Amino acid sequence: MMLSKGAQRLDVLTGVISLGLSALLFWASLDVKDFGSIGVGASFVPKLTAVLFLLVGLALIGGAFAASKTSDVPADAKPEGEQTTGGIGAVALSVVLMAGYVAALDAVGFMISSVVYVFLQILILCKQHRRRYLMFALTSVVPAVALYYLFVDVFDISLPAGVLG
Amino acid sequence: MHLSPLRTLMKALMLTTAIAAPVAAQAVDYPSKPVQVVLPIAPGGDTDVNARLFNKYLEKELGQSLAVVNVDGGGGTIGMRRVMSAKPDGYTALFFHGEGMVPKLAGLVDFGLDAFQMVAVALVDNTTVLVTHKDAPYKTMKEMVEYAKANPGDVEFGMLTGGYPHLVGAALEQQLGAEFTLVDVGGNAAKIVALRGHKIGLANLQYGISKDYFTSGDFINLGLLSPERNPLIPDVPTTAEQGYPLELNKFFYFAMPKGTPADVVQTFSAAVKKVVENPEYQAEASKFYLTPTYMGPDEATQYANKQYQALEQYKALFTAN
Amino acid sequence: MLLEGILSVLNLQTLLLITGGTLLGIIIGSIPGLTVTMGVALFLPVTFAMSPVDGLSLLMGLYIGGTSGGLISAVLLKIPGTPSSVATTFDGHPMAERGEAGKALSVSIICSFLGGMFSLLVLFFVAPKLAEVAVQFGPYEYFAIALFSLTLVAGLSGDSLARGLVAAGLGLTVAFVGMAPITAFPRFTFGWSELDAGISLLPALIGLFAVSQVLEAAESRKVEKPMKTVGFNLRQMGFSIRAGASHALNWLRSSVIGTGIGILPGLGGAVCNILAYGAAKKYSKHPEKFGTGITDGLVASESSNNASTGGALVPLMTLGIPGDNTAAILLAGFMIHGITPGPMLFETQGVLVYGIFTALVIANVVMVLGLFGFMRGFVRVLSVPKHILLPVVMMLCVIGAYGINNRLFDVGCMLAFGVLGWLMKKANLPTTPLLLGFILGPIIETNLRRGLMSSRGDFLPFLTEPISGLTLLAAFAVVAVTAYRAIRPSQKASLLPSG
Repeated sequence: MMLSKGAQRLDVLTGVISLGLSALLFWASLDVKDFGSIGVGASFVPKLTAVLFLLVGLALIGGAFAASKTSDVPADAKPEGEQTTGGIGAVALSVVLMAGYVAALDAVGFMISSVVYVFLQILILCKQHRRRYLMFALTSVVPAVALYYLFVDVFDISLPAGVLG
Repeated sequence: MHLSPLRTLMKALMLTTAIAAPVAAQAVDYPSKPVQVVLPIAPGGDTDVNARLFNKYLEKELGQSLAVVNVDGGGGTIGMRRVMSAKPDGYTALFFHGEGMVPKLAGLVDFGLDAFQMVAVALVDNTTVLVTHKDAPYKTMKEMVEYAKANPGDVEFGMLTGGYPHLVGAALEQQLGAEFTLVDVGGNAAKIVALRGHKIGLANLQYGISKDYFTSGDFINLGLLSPERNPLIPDVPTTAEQGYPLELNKFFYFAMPKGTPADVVQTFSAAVKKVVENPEYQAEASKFYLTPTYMGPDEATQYANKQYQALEQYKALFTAN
Repeated sequence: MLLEGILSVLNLQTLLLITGGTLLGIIIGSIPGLTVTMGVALFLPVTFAMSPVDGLSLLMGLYIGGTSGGLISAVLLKIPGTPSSVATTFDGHPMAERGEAGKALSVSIICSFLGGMFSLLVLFFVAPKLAEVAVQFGPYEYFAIALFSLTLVAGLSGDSLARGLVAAGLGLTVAFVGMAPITAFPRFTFGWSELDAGISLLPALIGLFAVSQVLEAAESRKVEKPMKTVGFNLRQMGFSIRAGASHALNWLRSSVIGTGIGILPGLGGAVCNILAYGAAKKYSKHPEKFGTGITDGLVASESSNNASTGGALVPLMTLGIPGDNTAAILLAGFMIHGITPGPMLFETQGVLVYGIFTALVIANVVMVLGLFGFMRGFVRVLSVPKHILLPVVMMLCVIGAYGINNRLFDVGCMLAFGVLGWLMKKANLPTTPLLLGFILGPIIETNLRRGLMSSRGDFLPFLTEPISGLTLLAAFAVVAVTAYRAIRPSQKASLLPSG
């Protein structure tokens, strides 16, 4: 197998995670509450899965080390960066934004939190230099309001109303 | 969709009354907005259908729309928790049946119906029948009991572990003095499949969902688990007639969080009573073999307590197995 | 009676209800986050006031439309509109990216129709017989079939079996959370009662496919260009029909898989499209092209998921057994009128049954016409810039995740799976095995334990019962062959993109 250094590192990482999951799953399976039923209990299949993780983890790590002795493929080249926003920072920001959105749903209500979320998310996602803020604002307000009334009044799905309720 | 014209009308009406009679508005301030009715089950089952049918009439009595909210999971405990922790203002109600006490009996959670303010019992489904398939070595209740006694463990009773039918199985074993093998197959639908495929030899089912199988000859009805015949299905003999007095029914009720004001509970309960007494609703309910039955808050609480105590005696059997 | 049944549907009001239901279903199905289950649930109360034929016609229209509508967002956005169009994304989206959205949609629509009609014929002619077979399936058989389906992970893991297994293990692990099958005691909940109900499929699916895309778009440093929508003309559609004809075998196999899985309560559309895709790839002369945007994959996925509709109606109408959540609501659509589907339905409600058959056929036709009619509009979605489209999609996903069970917890789950999906992409882990593990894990575990309970702890019946024994043998063969190929040295590593 010709694996690049990057792929090998990834294999080792995945293998280690797999071993970690195996240990975690096995540990958590130890105190699964159960009836004294016939056959196998509620911790049997989880333990089996822990074994699967163990074997696959070992295979991944072993495979990567075996390959590292023979392989001389250079590590993957990093793609050259452009002058735009993005990267892990933008991902982290998006996750925080989404979490805030979900947390605010109940207290603030679907409509307001959606408007704020969509607007900010557009700002994160938009990589163009020319930003049409009015269009962004419209895109965040109109669907949120329309969808709220569509679902709540027409479909009778109770979305959190929040402060407007 | 069905509610929106009604809801608009109500809003308009409320607005008019608010302008016309600001004094009168205070006396009838509950309910002043839609009431959420939480069903701790997924849409589609009998509880869901029963609730929606009942609510259709209840909305008219309350003068407010009722928003049915299905909160499924955890054997009903997720939805029950939702109602328990809701604001006790009468705008969140639970609609459920007797199975609400089972998770506590099984030791899964530490709350039962006693954690709620009972509002009213609205319906009783008194159609639980014991069913076997056509090739079973017994055709009647008596033969079944004798067979089970002669061949301990040979009668396979279909149930869902930790669910109500599990309790039923344990209770039957004890009351009949027989020994079954309790086989986990799943819910009602799965029990029918298992009986039809002869994977089990006994199950408790509602009459409505099994009657076609009696007609087709696939299943045999061993008897109604009730002290008296149900007037809705007068041809079905009870097990009591055959010498085995057993009682099992499914009662449906409304409950609210503890601490809900008494007058709010009374208003809701009175509306439930009116629906139960509505001949139109009674006619519709009879199509589902349901018996509209009203019990007020106190009576309903006592009834629930009595049921819980009756079931509690099997608790040990239930958790031991 | 047949004629009477057909006539009961052929009036303006009923026809309008079927058409409206189907078109609405398409729209609900095509919106990421909203599924056919939700659509049918929303309209169930509306049918209270209708006659049984009208009410059920509306619901059947929604069912057919909703199941089919999922293909649109699967092809255009790489987000399966419903769980049953997961495999449609594998080849549909690469085609859309190449500018062949029109072709991908056309093939999918035609296959949806053909698959749906296949299953209707099965339902019409052999439903009672098939039901007879289905009731013979017990825990041993279910265990074997689910395990066999899980071995498909081997074929859908992309370039590394080990990575596929890690992903499948993740899926299994996530599915463990909540009340354990059989005993109902919560496990792996760490005392958090919200977890008692476990994690639902839909939030997980939306998270993996939709939310992770938002995160990817955030990460990307490229200034995106709107996708090309060339290749959208009638000539290409004609070509698609010819291509469809050459895929007859694939279509037949996928339809049989879809109908067969649909009949077995509990498996359903979410599994069958992946299963059919895996099978098509396995028997293809060019398996390496799967996932690059070839029509074979679309034929498999879309024939099978629509074929599962007729399949699911078999146990519903002949036994009164709902195979999945959607069927459970359809069942309620019968019950609300005091009609209990079961062995006597065809005898006591013959007119209604034939009316429903007619409604289903009409719904399938409306579905094709509607989808082709909407297609031009749908393809235009591609010209909306992603930074505008994705946040709005995200909002819809929140509604969808909240709407299934009215719990914010589900919305949180969706988010967590979004992050997981993004991380998995980083770690080059395929998501399809995760989904398979997630869906099949509980079926495998429940039936393993049920089987052992009824055999009183004996593993042997799993092997000696004919259907289950043979299926397990086949599963073993698949694993053995795959393992042999993986271990055999100097084998050219295939460069398939992961599913």
